[in-house]
Amino acid sequence: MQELLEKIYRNDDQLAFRQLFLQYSDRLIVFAASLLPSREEAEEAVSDVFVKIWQQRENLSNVRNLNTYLYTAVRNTAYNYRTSAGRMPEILTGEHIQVSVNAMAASPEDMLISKENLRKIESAINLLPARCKLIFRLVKEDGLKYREVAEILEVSINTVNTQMAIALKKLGEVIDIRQHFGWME
Amino acid sequence: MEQHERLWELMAKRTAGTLSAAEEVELEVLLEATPEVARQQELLDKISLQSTGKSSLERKELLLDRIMGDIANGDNNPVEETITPERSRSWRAIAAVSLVLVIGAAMAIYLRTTPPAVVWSTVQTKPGSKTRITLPDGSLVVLNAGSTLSYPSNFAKSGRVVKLTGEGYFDVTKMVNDPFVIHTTTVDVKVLGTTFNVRAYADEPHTETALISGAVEVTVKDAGKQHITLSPRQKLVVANAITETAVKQLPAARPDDQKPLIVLENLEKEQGTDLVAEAAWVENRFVYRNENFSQLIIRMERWYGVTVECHNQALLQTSFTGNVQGESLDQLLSMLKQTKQFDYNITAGKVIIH
Repeated sequence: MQELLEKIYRNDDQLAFRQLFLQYSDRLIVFAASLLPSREEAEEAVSDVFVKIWQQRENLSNVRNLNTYLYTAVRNTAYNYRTSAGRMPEILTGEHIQVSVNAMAASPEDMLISKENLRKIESAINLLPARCKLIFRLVKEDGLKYREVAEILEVSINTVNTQMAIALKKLGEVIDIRQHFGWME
Repeated sequence: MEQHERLWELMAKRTAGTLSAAEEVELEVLLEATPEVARQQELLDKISLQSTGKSSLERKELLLDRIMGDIANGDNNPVEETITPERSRSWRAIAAVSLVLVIGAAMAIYLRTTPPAVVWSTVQTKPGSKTRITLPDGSLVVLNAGSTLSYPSNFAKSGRVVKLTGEGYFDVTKMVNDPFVIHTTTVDVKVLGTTFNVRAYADEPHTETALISGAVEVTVKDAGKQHITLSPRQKLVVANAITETAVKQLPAARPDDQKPLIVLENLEKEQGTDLVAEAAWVENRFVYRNENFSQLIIRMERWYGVTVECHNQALLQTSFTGNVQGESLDQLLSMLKQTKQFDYNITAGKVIIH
């Protein structure tokens, strides 16, 4: 990733810039959509961020954590949209992002979670409170570290930890373990 | 009660990977007291999330074009950019105009009475042979043994579309606004320009899409028409049975039905190589990972172009992991023998195993 950034700020490489956009746009647009009322505004916010990144590409040489850099830029832009529209900046009233859940295998011989439990987890995630769901998504889907989430959302690491604990508890509770461990009883 | 809160605090820390050694022990003790919670959490680790309703690849390309347009304008007129409502409106206007254009184009296509004839070429590889194909747009496909690839002679008329049965490694030429689509029985794979492997043999239970670099969008051809976007170094495994269950709505009778039909995995480098296991065949390396012998027989027959007869029942259930470079079947069999002893002889394209 560092290589890609260097191509952008050293060589003005537009292909590298396009690649950066394609790699991050999904995550950033979904993130923006959880802060803004419509998908179109989310796309605009992310596009604005990338226009700025290119215009100020020499700043990329100072970026130490690309995740927090990009997400924070998107958050600030989304907040600007909200304040300029006369809305409160800090409340999450954005589109309710729906998630789908698939089984993840670390290796082929790994035990897989049943289809029925996947459905249960999926609906439980979609019912989490907006802020809790956002934090859970940023960690589990986007792969962000707790301190990155804390920095991006301007909350303490403790808050991230607490919200993750709530999510883990609620999602764990809906899982029917008899389908997997029944034979052990 | 307080103890329970501590449990969840520690579980959250565990998810972050920030447990200290002492906390790890503490959590273990708490989990031992609540085995049900421990098992639920173990299962919860085995999920991957995907937000639905992501922008399509074409949509992202459109956004990129606008961004590049804005950049070009900004370079001529380097004023500090701020977001103004006027600008937002101009963007919506662009979107509206392009929608009209798309509808216009669709009408033009619809109104054309005589569709242009598209001739399809088909390349088929025999067991034991591989081939390289350069497509009309310059994209490269390496076709594995026992596979079929069909493509139109003229991409301009039909769009960049190919049909695949079997396994192909694709290096697709990047063309903005012209996605490349691979149709298989179970999934459609849509890309713009990238490197990836698709494995869709009719005699195997799964269809696999492994992304090496770039971005691909996989559409599962079941009733739900689920779209899944892969990140580099991810692999999507879809059970071929997914299309049947959608049609027949089988009652969940087979124990197999409990298994998820879609699984996302991370790619790993194959031992002793620089390649991910899924693409190692392109470099003539035969890779097998935790595969039982009956599966391996199907693959050996295809890879070496031989027939295999196995009279050793115990062997069929044994699983093997390893990889071998080159063409020699003898070399592979002697490696497999190191895991579990068996005897074999090879005569004129036929292998007999005792």
